[in-house]
Amino acid sequence: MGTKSLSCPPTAAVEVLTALPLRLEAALEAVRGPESGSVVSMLGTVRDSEEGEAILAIHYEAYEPMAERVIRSVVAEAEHRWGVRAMAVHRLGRVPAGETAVLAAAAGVHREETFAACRFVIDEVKARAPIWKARFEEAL
Amino acid sequence: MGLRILFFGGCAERLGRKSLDVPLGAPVRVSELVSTLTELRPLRGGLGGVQIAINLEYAGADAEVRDGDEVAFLPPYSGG
Repeated sequence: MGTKSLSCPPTAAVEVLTALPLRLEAALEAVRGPESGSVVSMLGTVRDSEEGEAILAIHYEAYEPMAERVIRSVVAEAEHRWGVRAMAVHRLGRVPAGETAVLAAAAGVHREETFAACRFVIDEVKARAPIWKARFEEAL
Repeated sequence: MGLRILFFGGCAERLGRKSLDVPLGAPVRVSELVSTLTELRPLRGGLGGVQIAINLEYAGADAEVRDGDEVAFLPPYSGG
């Protein structure tokens, strides 16, 4: 591990779609800065059952260029509206039960705007980003 | 150049393909494109609440589709 930078990377440098497991600590580091009095995160996790069926994994697919554009736009809107730093990342491909499919985080001076911004980001990403549960892998 | 049409979710499953390249002369409206596509046998039941995007932007039924455009049929999202 290198030395930790005090300044945050620009939001545009943060990946918003990935086939790799999501890392909470990396997400928090992407948003937090010396002025962050509060950091909020939300992890959407694949449950091990859906409507009574045991689930091993969910496969996600996206219209990637549009999903990326929508997620970046939602994040920018949250940052502008609440004056926080925010991020969101969605995993694509096979996500096993128990692992994180989507992660949103925000860092702000106070908790009220930080909670509100994080809530907005996760809600709007789910509502507006062209991403689908392509297939459920059911346990036999 | 032609038109590139992308399908996702249930539309792709019913069609058995994720994209379709079609030649296009004069521009057509989204509504006309939808009517033409729903004449294809696998899509005859309708498109089931899809939204349409042209070149990554949402488009209404009256929007024009031009040669070289990428048109995506987006069923209701289920990410997260």
